[in-house]
Amino acid sequence: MHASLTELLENLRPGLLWVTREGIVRYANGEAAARTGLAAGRKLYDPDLARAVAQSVAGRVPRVVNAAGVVTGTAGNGELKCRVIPGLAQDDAFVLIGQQVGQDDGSGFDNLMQAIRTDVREPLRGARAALELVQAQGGGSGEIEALSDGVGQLLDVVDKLVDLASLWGSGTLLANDRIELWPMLQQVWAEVEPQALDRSVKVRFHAQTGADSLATLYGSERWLKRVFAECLDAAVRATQRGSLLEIEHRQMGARALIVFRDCGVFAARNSAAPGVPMPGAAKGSAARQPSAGAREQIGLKLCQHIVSLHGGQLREEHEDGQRNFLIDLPTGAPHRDAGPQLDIAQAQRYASDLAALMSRARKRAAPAAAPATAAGG
Amino acid sequence: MNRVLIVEDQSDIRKLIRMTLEFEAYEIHEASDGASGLRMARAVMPSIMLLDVMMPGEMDGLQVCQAIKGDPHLRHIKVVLLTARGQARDQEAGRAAGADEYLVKPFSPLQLIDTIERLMAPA
Repeated sequence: MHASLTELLENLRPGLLWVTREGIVRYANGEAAARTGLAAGRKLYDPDLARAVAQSVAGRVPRVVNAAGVVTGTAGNGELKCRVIPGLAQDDAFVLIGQQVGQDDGSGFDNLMQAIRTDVREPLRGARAALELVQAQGGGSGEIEALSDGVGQLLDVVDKLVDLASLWGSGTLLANDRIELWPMLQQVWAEVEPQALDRSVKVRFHAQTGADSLATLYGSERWLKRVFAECLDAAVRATQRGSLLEIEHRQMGARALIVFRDCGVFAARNSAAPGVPMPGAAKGSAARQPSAGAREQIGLKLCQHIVSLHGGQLREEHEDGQRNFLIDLPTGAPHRDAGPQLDIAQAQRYASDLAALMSRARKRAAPAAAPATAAGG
Repeated sequence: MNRVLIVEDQSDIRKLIRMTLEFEAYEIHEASDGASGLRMARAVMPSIMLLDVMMPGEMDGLQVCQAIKGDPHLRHIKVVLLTARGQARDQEAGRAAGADEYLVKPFSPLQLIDTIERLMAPA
């Protein structure tokens, strides 16, 4: 699909499904995927919606129907208001998915998130560009440097807030990318390595199995990579200069634990009193601490949200007197269970092939029976 | 009798596959996750494995397929990947892992039988 069309459809507020007359999904934007659990290649599981699609395609007329969706939150009963319209071709249709039946609109918070996504991102980019210009032209003045450092910290916080807002209502988290963990960790390390070199922090990674045979993750590669980047960056910052940071991978059944050993990731800054410089902090940097703390708080919230949507958990554990930070994620399959719809669809295929299977089995058995009949006649 | 090993975490799908295969004369074995599927493959030496791709656990289907095809004692086993992942890049990943065939769920049981017969036919 043309990239501009994809972007346009992804940003449609109503969910959009593009389906064939037989109810096979050709395309589902993020909103539709979140509401229905459907993706390209899957079949509509709600019979009323499937019937409305068939009618709309046959009669080239729109149809309105309530259809089953994924239950979210405490409001609503999982039923969605859908408008089916004929598609651009003769044998397909579009399904526009509105609110859940019975659910409160909740538009106020959505509007806030939308405003952050659309109204803050561009000014943020402009502010970063201006900051780079100031830093380039600053000429080494201590005041300019302190000012630009402070503004930079603030922009980091706002940047994370924009990312957190962009997760709201986004279907990208429902991606079920197949993610090989070791290559992703290597990419993340490449991003964080400059920080580690600057702080003379060495990082050592252990795995129970070989690094090349770590269990695969399923989910949004973009956002899980962000989690690992945030956590590794925070761990490096939390590790004393010149020290060793040990990271361990453990496979516990169907879950992977990535353990940052003896490391107060995201927590180190919190333990300091407000306004008190951290040990080893540069002179004159006390003003940085509140925004550095806010950056890590939002970074933590961002990571917690992403990990929880993947069926995982961020937590701290105490082991042998050490405080370890853990990323706990399911492996081998996506967290979202598409089982019931798939079971129903597979059972329908079995039922539709059953007569042919039985006929085939009878034909296979018939030649074995024939000689006995002929001998007895 | 030809041995078929079904490796699929969803018990209802496993049951449907078994019910399909019972129309034919196969010796059927089952496993519910990748690691136990690989162990069972080594133990029973099936002629063919029907292997789900996405299975919770330490090995998904593609990793099991790679292990089977990378082991000289097992690589003769035919591997059919059964998966809800129907995009071209997923099928390419299946081929790269060494799979002999790739069926997208929900698959036709008749097509499954035809696929098994074709793969088991003498070369």
